[in-house]
Amino acid sequence: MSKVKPNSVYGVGSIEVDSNGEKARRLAITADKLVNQPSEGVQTVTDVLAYAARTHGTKRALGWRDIVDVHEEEKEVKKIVGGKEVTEKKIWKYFQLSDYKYISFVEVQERVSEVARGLHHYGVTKDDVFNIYAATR
Amino acid sequence: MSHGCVSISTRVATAYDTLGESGLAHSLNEPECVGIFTNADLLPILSRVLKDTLTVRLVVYDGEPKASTLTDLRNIRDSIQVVHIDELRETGRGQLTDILESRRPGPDTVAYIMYTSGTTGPPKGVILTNSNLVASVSAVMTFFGQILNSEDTFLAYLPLAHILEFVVELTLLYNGSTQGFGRVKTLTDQSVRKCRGDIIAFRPSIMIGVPAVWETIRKGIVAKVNAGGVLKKNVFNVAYAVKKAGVPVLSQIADSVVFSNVRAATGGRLRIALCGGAALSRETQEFLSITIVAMLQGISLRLVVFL
Repeated sequence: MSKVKPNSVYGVGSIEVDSNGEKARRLAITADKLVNQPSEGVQTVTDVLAYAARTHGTKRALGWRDIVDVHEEEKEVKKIVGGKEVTEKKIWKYFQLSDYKYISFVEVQERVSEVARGLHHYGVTKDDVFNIYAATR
Repeated sequence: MSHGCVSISTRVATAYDTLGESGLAHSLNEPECVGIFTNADLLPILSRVLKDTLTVRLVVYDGEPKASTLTDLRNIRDSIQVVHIDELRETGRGQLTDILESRRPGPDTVAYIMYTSGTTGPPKGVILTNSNLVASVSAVMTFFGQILNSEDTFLAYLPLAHILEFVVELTLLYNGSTQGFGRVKTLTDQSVRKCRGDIIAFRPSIMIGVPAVWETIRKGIVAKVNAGGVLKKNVFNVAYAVKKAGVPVLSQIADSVVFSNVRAATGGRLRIALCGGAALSRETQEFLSITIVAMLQGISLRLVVFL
C-alpha cells in the first residue's frame, strides 16, 4: 500500500512541475496543466446539473424509498446487572419501505429550478445565506 | 434544495443533523441565515433554537410534521414563514425562468459554508466556491473516470463527511450514473419487514461499506448456506476450496453454478466493492472476494485524503 506502482492508467505516478514559479507535485498524466474543469464550459455546480440533464436526459438519476409502515417487535435481551443475568423485553422498530422511486437527470434539473424560483419569490437574495439541516436526503 | 440555492447564487450553510442545538444555533447565527431547510422530525429541535436565531424568517421542510409543531414554529415571531417543500416548488413553477439567468453563479461565487464539528469550541464553517467543487469533480473524473461507466448504480447510505458525500454525488451526476439512497438500518432483508432490503431492491454495481456492513453481508450468506441442508453446504464448501486454490475450469464452474446464487445476495450487479473506515478482517475479505466480487480495501480512505 505504501508504494504506488506505475501503471498504464496513471503513468509514473506524480512528478515535480513548475507552478507559477513554485515547485509542486502533480499526477504525471496531467502534468501539462492543472485539471480544474471536468469538460469545457463546466465551471459551476449549476453547470454540472445542466451538463447532466443535457447529456443523460431521461436516464434514472436519483432513487429513494418511502417509509410505508413501521413494525414493532418485542425481543428478549439478556443483560448482566450486578453479576446476575436479567432478561429484559425491548421493542425493536423495523421499517417497511416502498420500492425505489426514480427521477431522471432532466427532472433533477427541473426540481432545482422550481426550488430556485420559489426561493426568489420569498425574497431570498444573492447576499443571503440559507441553511440546510437535514439527514442524508 | 441546496442546488436550488446555489443556482441563484445564494450561499448554503450546511449543518449535520447530529450537531445538536448549540451547533445548529451557531451555524444559523454566524452566517446570519435568512432561512433553513430541514426534515419534519427535526422541526422540534429547530423550534427550540429559533427564538435565539433572529435572522431566520423562512423555514422549508419535507415529510409530515404534527400540526402543533407547525403552529409552535409560526408563533415564535410574526416574521417567520413555514412552507412545505412541495408548496415551495408549486410557487416556483408559477414564476418566470428569467430570474435564473440574472442570478447565475460564477466560478468564484461562494456555494457552500460547510459546518463541521471541529476539535474544540463551536463548529467551524468551511467556505467553498463553485470552482472548488467543480475542480474536485474533475479530479475524481481524471482519477476514476476509467473505471466508472454511465451504467453504474451506486448505493449511497453512509453518513460520510459532507464534502466527500457531496463530491461523490456531484461526480456521479456528471458521469450519468444512477444513485439510490439507502439507510444503514435497512440495507439487508433481515433488517426490514414485508419488503426487501435496500441492497436487493436497488442492486448496486458500486458499493462502499465500513467493515461492519460487509460482516453483516457475510453472515447473511453463511446463514443461507447453512439453512440449505447438508448437501448444499458440502457443494458450497467444495466450490469454495476449488476457487481458493485457483483450479482452472472448475473455478469457472464454481462461479457460474454455485456462487451465482450467492451473488444474488447483493443484487447480482456488484462490480466494485470498497471498504474503508477501518480494516476488514482477512477472512471476510477472502470470503467475499471468492464468493461475490474482488474486495478493494482502503480506496475510500485514499479518496478521503485525496479530496
